[in-house]
Amino acid sequence: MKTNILYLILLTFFFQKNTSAQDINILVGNARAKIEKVTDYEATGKMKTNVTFLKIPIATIKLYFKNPNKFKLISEKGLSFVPKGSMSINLNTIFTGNNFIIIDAGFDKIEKTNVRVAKLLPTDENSDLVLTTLYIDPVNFLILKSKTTTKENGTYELKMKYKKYSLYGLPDEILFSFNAKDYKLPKGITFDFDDGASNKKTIKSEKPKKGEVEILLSNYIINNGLNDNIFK
Amino acid sequence: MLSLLQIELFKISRRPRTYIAFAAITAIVLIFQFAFKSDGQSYMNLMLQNVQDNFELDRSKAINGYFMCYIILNTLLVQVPILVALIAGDAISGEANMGTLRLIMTKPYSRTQILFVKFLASFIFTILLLIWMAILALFLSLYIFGADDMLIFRVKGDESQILQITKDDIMWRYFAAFGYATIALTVIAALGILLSVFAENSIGPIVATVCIVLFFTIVSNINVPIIDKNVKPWLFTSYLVGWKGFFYIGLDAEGQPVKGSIENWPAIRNSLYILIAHIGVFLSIAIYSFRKKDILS
Amino acid sequence: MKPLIEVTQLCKKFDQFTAVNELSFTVNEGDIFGFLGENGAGKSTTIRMLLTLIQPTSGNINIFGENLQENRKEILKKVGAVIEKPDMYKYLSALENLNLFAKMSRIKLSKSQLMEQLDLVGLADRSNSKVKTFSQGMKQRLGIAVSLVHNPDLIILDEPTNGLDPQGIVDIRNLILKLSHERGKTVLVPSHLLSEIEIIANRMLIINKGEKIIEGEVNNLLDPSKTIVKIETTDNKKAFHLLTKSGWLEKLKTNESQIQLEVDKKEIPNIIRFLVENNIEINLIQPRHSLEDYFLTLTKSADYVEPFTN
Repeated sequence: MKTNILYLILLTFFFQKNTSAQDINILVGNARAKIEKVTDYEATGKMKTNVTFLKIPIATIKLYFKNPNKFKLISEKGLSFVPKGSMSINLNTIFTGNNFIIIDAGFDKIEKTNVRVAKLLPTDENSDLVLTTLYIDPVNFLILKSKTTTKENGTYELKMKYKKYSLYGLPDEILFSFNAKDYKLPKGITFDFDDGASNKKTIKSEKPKKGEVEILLSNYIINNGLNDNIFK
Repeated sequence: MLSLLQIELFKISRRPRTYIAFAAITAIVLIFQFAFKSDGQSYMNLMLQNVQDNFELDRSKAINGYFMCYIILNTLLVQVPILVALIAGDAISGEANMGTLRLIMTKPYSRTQILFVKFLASFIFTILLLIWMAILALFLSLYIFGADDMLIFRVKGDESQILQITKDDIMWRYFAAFGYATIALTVIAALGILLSVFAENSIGPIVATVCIVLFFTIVSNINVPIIDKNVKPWLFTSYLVGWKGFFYIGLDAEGQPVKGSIENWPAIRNSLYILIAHIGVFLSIAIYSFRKKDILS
Repeated sequence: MKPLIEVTQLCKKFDQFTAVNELSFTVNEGDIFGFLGENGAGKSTTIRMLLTLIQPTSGNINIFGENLQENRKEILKKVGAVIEKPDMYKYLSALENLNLFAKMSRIKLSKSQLMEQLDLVGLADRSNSKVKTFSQGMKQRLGIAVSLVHNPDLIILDEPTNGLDPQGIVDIRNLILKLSHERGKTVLVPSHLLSEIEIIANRMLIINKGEKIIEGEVNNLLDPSKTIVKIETTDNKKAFHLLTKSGWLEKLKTNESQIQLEVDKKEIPNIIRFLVENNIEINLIQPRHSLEDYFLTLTKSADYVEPFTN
């Protein structure tokens, strides 16, 4: 009885703020349904890594996905540092294999777009996922941002922009951020050439550094039937 | 002068000692290649450390021919001065010890010519040594491990970095690096020749050259600010590793490597000037002393 | 006769030590010139100065009529030398060594020409053996071949018969004589063996402690009929007195163990007979022609001692 009253109060609160508010479960469901229209896809793109110690070129990449949870990110040529947790670039993986309790966490704004915030708590205690927060565009049922906290791989954040493939819930731009651990080689191991140009002044605060990976995607080939061999 | 040089090269080519250097290089390179072929992953793990917590990397692709060559040169170029000293330190003193110096000196050549030819012969030996290294460490590695992008693990000031150079941007850097190494090792050759002028057995100058190089290298790697600032710039050994500068790829404002660029060309150029100046000074002192020397051996 | 080497007032000091002092001498074209001195007399230093291995402290050297300092290369082209030990590249064969030094002398010889040179010193059959397998005598021969390979006008052969067997000594002596007499070469032979020089040289110079003792024609300096005889007897004191009385004392040096006297070679049997007749048993009688003895004659028994008078 008490919970019902509380729920009522909360609801009243929401309706006061936004009259077009939907039930969060329905909204997440709609977003999920949009994504799940895609049974497989492949896409090409560019991946730019912004991590202070990593000086690597923009990589040309290929993404592959197949229902329910096959995913692969590869570099077309050369070496590539593929961020761990890149699985979650593919939003399907958030939903598959996990049962959630969805909690409505209110409203927010991402670049002028009003969004609803939903917190997904996995019901399975052994899941690596601790918490996923989704920021959903309630008009187009698109997830514009997600924040995932895992037991093993820390917290990472995704920001997505949709253009051509918004119908399928597939982003054109993804910004993947994570806490990058500091990288320190013991001096002397590398016998480096000290050109005198780099001396001191790089003493920075010890707070965890943010790492970012920007992915620009184009040329999605959707629901064309992918061979499973690709994922081996 | 050319025929004198031919004679010098002929003598070097006929001495078993010469081949010790080539054999040593061959052995070291092959051991490296074998070790990395069988367990290169552990080395990669060591270098990547906790980068692996955030990223996945195809380590078998990372251990490729280009990377191998860099690792081998990194280690080998510390030892090659010893091999150059083996020949250069023996140049004059070896002849003195054998008793042939007095015979050479009664031939119709000036002492400057004789010394300079000795130096040239050591220089050519150094080049041949580096070509042999290039064949084994670079081309054989490429054959065994294949070609791919190359990772450079670097400590820059207080920062550690991983640089990635795309595979079509590497070969010219190796040519430049081997060119630089030639100049760097020629400093050792000039030092060896200089010391060899003053001795009548070859062990002394060879050991002295190696000791100077080792001592300076150790001092230049002490990594204490007072030494970094006041001593290091004056030691030629600080510049021996300058070849690596060609692999420190230039970065754009966003920290992306710029293909075909070098981070700090002026520093490399200055190092080259300093090394060439050392060659000039060592050689001048050697020629001056040699011209004045009474041949008593 | 044209002077080929003219040395004037040559000095070399090593720090405080004077190795060669005010040395002047002349070697003429075609000479076989004996350059005599004990070890450490300054011979090597002088030879090295003639070959520009050592810078003179002062003095002047002219060779082929040119100043050595100013025309070093041109002069050295016409000089061949074995200096002290005939050291070669041990890891090369005789032929390779010879070829190498021919090239260094700026001449190119065919293999047959090189073999000819080796044949001249009796090494043709060992032409392909590495020098490290050679005996001292073979190295000496190769050294001589090397010094001759570029057909020089002046040849300096340091102790040329060192390490050779008796036949080798004869061979080399003949070679030197042939070079001088048949080919008109000038040969400078530094040596500490007077007997050697006596046989081959026509002129000679003796130095001691860096200074010239004597220079001139061998025939004039060494009376071939005179020799120094060393005698050891059972009673040296008695023998000494007897020899003094009988007029053989002219040049005589003695001490408790032996008597030395300079006599005509023909007199030696008479001396033996004389001593035996006077009941003196002879333990040893030895004619000597050492440089040391020759100094003795030159200095006219300056260090004459007579231990038996009191």
